[in-house]
Amino acid sequence: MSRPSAAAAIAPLVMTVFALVSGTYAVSVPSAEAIPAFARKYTMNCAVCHTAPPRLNTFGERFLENGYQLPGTEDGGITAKKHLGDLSLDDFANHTGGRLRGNMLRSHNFKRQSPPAAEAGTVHNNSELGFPEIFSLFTAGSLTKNIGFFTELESNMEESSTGIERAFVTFNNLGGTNVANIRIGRMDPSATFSFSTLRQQLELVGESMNTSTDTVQRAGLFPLAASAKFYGLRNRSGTAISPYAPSLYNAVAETGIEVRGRPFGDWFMYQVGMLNGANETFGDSNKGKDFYGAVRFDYARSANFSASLSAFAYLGNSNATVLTGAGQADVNWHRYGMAAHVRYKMFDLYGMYTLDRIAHVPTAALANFDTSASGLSVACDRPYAPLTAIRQHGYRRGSQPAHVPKLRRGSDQTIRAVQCGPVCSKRLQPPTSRRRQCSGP
Amino acid sequence: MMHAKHLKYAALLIVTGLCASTAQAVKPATNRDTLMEGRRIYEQACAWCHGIGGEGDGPAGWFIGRYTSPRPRNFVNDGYKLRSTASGELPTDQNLFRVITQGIPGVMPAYRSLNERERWQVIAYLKSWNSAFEEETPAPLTFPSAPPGPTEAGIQHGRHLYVKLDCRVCHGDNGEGDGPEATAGHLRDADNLRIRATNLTDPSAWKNGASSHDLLRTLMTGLDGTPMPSYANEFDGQEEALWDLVWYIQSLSGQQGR
Amino acid sequence: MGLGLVHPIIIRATGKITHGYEHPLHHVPTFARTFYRLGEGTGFMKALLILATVLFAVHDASLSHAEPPTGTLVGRILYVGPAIPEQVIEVTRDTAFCGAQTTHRAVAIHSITRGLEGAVVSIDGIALPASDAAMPPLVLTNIHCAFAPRIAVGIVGQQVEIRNDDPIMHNTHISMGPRTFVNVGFPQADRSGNPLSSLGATR
Repeated sequence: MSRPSAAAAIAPLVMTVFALVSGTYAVSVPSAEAIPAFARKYTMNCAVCHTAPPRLNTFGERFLENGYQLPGTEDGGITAKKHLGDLSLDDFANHTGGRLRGNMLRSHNFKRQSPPAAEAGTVHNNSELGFPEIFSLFTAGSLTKNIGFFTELESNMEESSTGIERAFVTFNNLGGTNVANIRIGRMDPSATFSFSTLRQQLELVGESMNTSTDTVQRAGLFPLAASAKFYGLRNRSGTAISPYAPSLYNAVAETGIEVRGRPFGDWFMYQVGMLNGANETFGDSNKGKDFYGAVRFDYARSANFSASLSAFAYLGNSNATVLTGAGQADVNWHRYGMAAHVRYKMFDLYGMYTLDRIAHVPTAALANFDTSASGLSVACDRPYAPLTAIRQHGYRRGSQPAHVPKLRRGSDQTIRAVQCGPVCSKRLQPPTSRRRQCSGP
Repeated sequence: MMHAKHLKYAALLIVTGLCASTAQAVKPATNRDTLMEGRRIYEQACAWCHGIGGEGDGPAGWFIGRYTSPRPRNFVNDGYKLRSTASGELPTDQNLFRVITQGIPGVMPAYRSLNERERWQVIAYLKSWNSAFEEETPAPLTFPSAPPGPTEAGIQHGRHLYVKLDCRVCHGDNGEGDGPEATAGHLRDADNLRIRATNLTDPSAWKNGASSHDLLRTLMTGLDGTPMPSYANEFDGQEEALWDLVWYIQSLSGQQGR
Repeated sequence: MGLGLVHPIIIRATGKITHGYEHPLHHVPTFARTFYRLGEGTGFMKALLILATVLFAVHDASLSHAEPPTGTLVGRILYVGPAIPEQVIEVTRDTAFCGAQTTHRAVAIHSITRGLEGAVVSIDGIALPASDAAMPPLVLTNIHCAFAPRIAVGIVGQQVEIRNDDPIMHNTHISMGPRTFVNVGFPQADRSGNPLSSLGATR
């Protein structure tokens, strides 16, 4: 396949077949998205913390913010523990839990066969059995009063990777109740945001990329507001960043430290943090740190109703590179966003808008490179035991190789998804479920 | 000798007095400060489910029972399930303290992490919503002490009572919560929400506690607002029979006598 | 107005009430302030129109303050709305004794006079002297898998005696609003007593 020179200069990532994807359908084996260790420890049903796992209800959000301690308490050294003098011991079972995710069947087909932009050898219609794909092992809880921890080991068979997905320690209620909570380690910065990257009803389906040609074979099914959006960005080790990969403030995991709290009451939360640098591969170059800050306003005083409004700013520092023809050049990749949620009884509506800007783009790349991109994702779900109905819409607008046709006026890409997933039951029995996912323009 | 004896009594009195004063110190008087502190704790720890106004409508409360019982307690005008008092009566303060301390399996965590004073402050605050607490003085029932232990004959008699009292209609022949009324979906609570019959083979899920005394208390008081009635009249003067039924129910999970 | 489903006619009077029409459906002591009503359906009262023909007259407006303001209210409450069909309820347990089905009448209306049975009239605004007379208990009986009587009136503090005259197990669960008044199980031919503790409609 010969690529246009302009595209070769700025973006070897070429979206070829996704533009023509008419639909992806999958039947999934349900995953226990709640962390059963917490339910065991506190002898609670998952629904005490979750609307429909992994989405958290207001109680679950405050439990998370409090370092896996009951809201309004500092029970890390007490509940469900054995006390031997000053030593508090916990059952190992109260700290551990497993999660298995996978699509039993994944299939895709295309309306157009062999489109002009398609890479040779692309499979146009395909069905594959894929279960299980991802196994996660959690250990999480509170070591002692106001010290919590979380680790997630993940084995992803599809990506042939195994390792620590997230691991961090929390120090809570420093300076007074909820005044300051510190989190250190490899973490998801948006965990307490109104729109949390990881707490999506939509089962995240990764994009398919041909690593030898840097070609996107299939779009990821993912909230586009949280995704990288840009074509042509690379991380500092030179590996192409998928436009569908969650990044910056919305990264699944980055290493750093943050402080968060609600010093003035439940209505207001602040969050400031520093990361080694989003999109750094393992081993930080320490060339520049990324900083972020967020505020969140909550209302949870009416009958069966809660709402929040959040905003964040993420300032990257040499956190990506672009090709200049003569090599790679660092750029500063920033993101600004707002999110909100409204929840009434079983109905949950949440969304996020993000605006990405890239500063310090080399002149050689500017001609073919957009320096801004935006994304919007809106989702709503409502549990109908034992299933949850979900609808999510999203679009991204941003740079794209010149030869890839615009998909829709005003929006480069749109993903719509309707999904039915399981809700958590106390015994975590896997009910039968079906899920329909649609990806495409 | 007399001198030593007097010293013993004096020591005993001092210890007793200290204990009593400690207990008094732990449970604060119901005054404005207590209510204000109770409110602060309540709004941080309890309001998520029970609601800011105590009506059981907190932003997270709907998800607990979803479309089945139980929902979070409405402190304003509901009755109470978990009591040591007669059917229809309010709970004692100790009953409320016990629930906050031990939680309710499946639906409410144990708030042992609130110190005792904080728990009493919360109790004073949530009681302030219901004027009935000022008008009534709930008195706990007198519960018979436990006999030495279960006997085979007693368990057999308990089985007879289990059938006679129609326990099986809801809880099933083997206590698995699969009686005909339960499986047919006829069981409803005071809010007309579907309610499951307790699985008597799984004591860890018993909302009113799993010890033999907890079970006996449940039989005596019933669970107001649910289909579980009080059998206090039936067992009036028949303590031995009541314990036989307790032993039998516990035998369904192989844990009689715990 | 609006005591639960009963919708009693509340007559505010400060004097003696002595006159009325004949054939009273209910003779209610004026000190009666607590009502309980059992086994009612819900929603039917939206369509219920009660024509009250309760007439009263103040016999002696200049009644001495020393005289207890008691008297007799006599009248008739007619139902003029559309016929309310009986509700057929499937019996789910003890069908050998109770039968497979039972009927439930939301309201009982005399076929000829259209008189509404079981109406309760509340007279408000009268302060009555406390009575030292011992009140006999109100008796509520489970009989033939139904409660009898369907409606009764008691006073605060009066004992309610619940009986089970059937040879089968009955649960008696009576509520005052969202709060349980009593929830007791009766194996057979048993009885229990609870005092009425507060004002309001109980069912």
